[in-house]
Amino acid sequence: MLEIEQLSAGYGEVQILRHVSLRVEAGEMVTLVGSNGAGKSTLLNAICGIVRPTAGRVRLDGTDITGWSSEAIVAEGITQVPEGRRLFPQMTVRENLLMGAYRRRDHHSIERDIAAMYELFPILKDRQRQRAGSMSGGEQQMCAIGRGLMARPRILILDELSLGLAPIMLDVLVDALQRVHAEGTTVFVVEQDVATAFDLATTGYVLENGRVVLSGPTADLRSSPHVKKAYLGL
Amino acid sequence: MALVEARGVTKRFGGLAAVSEVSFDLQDGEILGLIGPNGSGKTTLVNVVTGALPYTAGEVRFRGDSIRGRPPYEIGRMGVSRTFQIVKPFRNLTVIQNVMVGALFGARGGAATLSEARRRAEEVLDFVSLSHRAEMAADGLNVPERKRMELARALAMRPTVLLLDEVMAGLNPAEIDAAVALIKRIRDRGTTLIVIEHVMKAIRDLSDRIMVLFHGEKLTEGPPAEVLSNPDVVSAYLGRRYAERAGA
Amino acid sequence: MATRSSAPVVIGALVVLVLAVAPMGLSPFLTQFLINLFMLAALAESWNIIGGFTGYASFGNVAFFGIGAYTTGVLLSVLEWPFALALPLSGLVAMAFAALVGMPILRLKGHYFAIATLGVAETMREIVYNLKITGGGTGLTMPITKNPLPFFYLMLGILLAATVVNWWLSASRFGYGLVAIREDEDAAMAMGINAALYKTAAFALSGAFAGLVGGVFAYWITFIDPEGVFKVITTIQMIIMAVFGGMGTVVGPLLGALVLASVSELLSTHLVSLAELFNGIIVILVVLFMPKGLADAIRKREFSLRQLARNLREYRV
Repeated sequence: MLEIEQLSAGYGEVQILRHVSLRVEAGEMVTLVGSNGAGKSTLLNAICGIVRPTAGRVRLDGTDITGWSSEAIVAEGITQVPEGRRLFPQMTVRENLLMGAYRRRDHHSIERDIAAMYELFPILKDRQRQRAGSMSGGEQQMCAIGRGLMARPRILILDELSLGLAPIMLDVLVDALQRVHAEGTTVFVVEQDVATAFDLATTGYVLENGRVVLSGPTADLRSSPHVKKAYLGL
Repeated sequence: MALVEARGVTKRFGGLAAVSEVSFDLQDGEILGLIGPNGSGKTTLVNVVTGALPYTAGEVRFRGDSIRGRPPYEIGRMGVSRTFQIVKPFRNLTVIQNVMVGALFGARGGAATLSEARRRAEEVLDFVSLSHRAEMAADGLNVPERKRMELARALAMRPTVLLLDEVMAGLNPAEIDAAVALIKRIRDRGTTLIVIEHVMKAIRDLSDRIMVLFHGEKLTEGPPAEVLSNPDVVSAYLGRRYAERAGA
Repeated sequence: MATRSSAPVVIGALVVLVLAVAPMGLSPFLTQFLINLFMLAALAESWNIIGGFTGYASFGNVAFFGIGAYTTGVLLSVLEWPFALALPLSGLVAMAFAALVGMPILRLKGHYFAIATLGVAETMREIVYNLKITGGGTGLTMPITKNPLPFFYLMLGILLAATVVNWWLSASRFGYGLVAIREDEDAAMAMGINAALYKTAAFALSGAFAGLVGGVFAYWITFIDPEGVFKVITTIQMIIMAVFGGMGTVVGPLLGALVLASVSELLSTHLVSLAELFNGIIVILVVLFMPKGLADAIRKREFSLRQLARNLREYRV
């Protein structure tokens, strides 16, 4: 589904990513983990058209989308749930969800999808008329995921979903995302909380200093001595 | 007499009580961990204790003096400093200038001259290992550096009580260890701390005691081992994956 | 909080140059131009205190200018006091007014503050228009003085004082407090800064200088009326000059006034009808290419095309 081939990118003269390659197959939940400064944001920016790669290709279902504008990439079916949620704070929960469906033309299905979001995240239904900015971090994250899903994307990208959230909230989100994945959505989780990332995904890539240093089934990665020491604090 | 005494503190927004009847003591020299789900009232409690918000009912005393009605700047001068959950750097100033503001206006009015403030700022930057960034514009820092600058700014105020609001968010395990060590050094130098965190590893290592908030109320408090294995805390906050990992 | 070293040098140079030139008998036209320039620069420096350093963009500073003008006007033409007494009082009355109005109005932020201050200026004009002692719509006439030189030195003096105050702000504890308020008021308060007091003091200082300028203006121009001294465009001019030159810096407003007033004068003599248009275009170009103002660009010596393009991208034009 999403194929990144030898991607290099940076900002001005500073090179951040070097020859990064990874694949997210259709229907998979894949994770990319790494610390601050490893290059995760740069990679996402390159995928979503905010940064132009200096080398390499990004392909979505065979179509080469390298260097496309963000609008075109979103239209093609990539939706990102940004780091820090970035909800529209003055809009209500429902309005945020509707904004997720902004590009869709099948208006009759939108209400049905909103109902599905309320079923996935019952608390959003309670808060549907509440201003999104007044909710707690975990509730905002649910709303942000819901907004992303409303676009019915081919691939949903989650950027640092665990940031600042209570452990129990992460449990709720992990369960919800596993449901979303089970229902057929392809998910790409970019995450710093390696434990959560490996609970979610079956395949993982580890990014360090702009390079992929490890990759494979998360079950294997979990027991790698390097991962245990550097990322799980064990 | 405890350094900070809170009795029945309640903060209402309209009909909703963000904090309800919370009482606690903060003893001189201790590190009190404060945990709870998002929306449980932790940051509201910090806002109340630092005067950013007035409390609806109850009493908060610092060294025996009530802080009721006092604006944040007065409480800062009394010796209570804080960091913000979402860092608030002075973007158009350099790192050292940011810290100098803390030195100039902190406890008991701060440094009298700019040169003394600069000296204090240099010392604090050295303490948090940020000296190499002193002359850099604040908005050029990366995430862990911004958090350290926020901490440095609060430290430059020479506080008696320091409230840290989620300083560890976004740090990797090595950075967390470094931050824990730094915070312990801060305590060793004589500052009492309240630390809000979601990073359990850090809270466990740091806290002498932990207080748990849930829906604005105090659920429990006590030594870390006790609190973190309390089944109510697990179901309200820690979740099953944490329990599984802790058990394994 | 930078350029502490160049400001005194520039001021010093300016002073020496100008004082050396003046006794040599400038043409009346040039004297007039310079007095006007000093006035605009002083107003820009005064606005810089509340707008540039403190970050509260006031759109009503002409109110203090007008109050200063009318204080002098009333004291001179109605009560027949000497100017030596009237001028200081103009500054004091404007300052007191700014402090009084500032206390409630500085609680507002951003756009609301801007509109409220605009409202204050408009209200002052109406009040003055409707009072008997101020001569209402007919205005006030001062005793005529033939020699413009005293006004030259007075305006220059006020300009220097305002610039020195700006320079002091850039290197003092009070100034640090104001800048902290501008950058993040909540953080500033948490750090022990009494924001309400500091903001009001900055506003009062700003008003004081505007009032002094107004007082000199009234006596110099010998006739004032509400329409003339409470013009919105006066505030706009102050702001444009300060922003153009570099708000929050010491020499920025000076530079801005110098360049804009000179260009404006040149254009109106040669291209009378298109002067305003060219003025506007120049301001737009500078804002696009040198967003932090002329002073900043000069200091960094950033004039290459690549740097200009980078600015355009960075500020998302």
